[in-house]
Amino acid sequence: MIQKPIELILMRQLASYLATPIMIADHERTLLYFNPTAEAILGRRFAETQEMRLEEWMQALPLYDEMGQFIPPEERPLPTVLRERRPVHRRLRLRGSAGDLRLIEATVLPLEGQGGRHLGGVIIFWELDQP
Amino acid sequence: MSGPAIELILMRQLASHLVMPIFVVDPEGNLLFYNEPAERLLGRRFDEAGPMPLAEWSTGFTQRDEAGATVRAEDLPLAVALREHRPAHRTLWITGDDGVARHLGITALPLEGAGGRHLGAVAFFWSLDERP
Repeated sequence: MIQKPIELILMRQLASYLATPIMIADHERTLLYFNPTAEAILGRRFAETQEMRLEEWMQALPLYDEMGQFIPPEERPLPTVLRERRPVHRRLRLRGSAGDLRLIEATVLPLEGQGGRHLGGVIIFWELDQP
Repeated sequence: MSGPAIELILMRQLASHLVMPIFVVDPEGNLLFYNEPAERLLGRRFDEAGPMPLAEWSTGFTQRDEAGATVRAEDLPLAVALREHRPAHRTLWITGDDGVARHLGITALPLEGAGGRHLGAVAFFWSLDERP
């Protein structure tokens, strides 16, 4: 079994302690983790989903722009960050477990280690009050 | 004697491994740590500066919004995250000791642990572009 880079291990440990919703993916497009606070917004438990390919995740959780227009998978923030290695910030809508479209704000950061090692990306997101 | 919270230890360890500028402050806004990439924004090394009170580090640079208006310190994402215990984001022009105005994206999030323990906040910075 291949050991994950220390940055991903630390990020996951930290996320597990924090009250801010956080998701982590590696550079090979595998969703590695989302924390308990994220579970509440996503309507899914990590213990049930476990690691999964990003393509599978994006199919299971479609995203929409602020106006409610569907965002094609490769135009979503995380694939953009993994591809272009630059942070992205935008407002999005996702469908909650009750079927409602919830407005969130998300910052997605590339995880780059010393020596230019591209390790993946982290999504920090939060729900906005506006309908 | 209790040491630093595990969240702060992990945050500092993580920041020291990443190439993105990262600032960590305590619940009062005192600067606890910034990583090497952040040193280039502040114009001084953390090893030399050490932890700094809010009043000291916040005067080390000026910040303006996209229209050129001065942004009050209390409206910076870090301050919002600390005060309101929620993440905050905005873009800014920040001028440091070297006189260079840097166009930055900044996202700050509160460091809140289990049981609602408020431990401080962390800010992630990234360059949008630069002008002299």
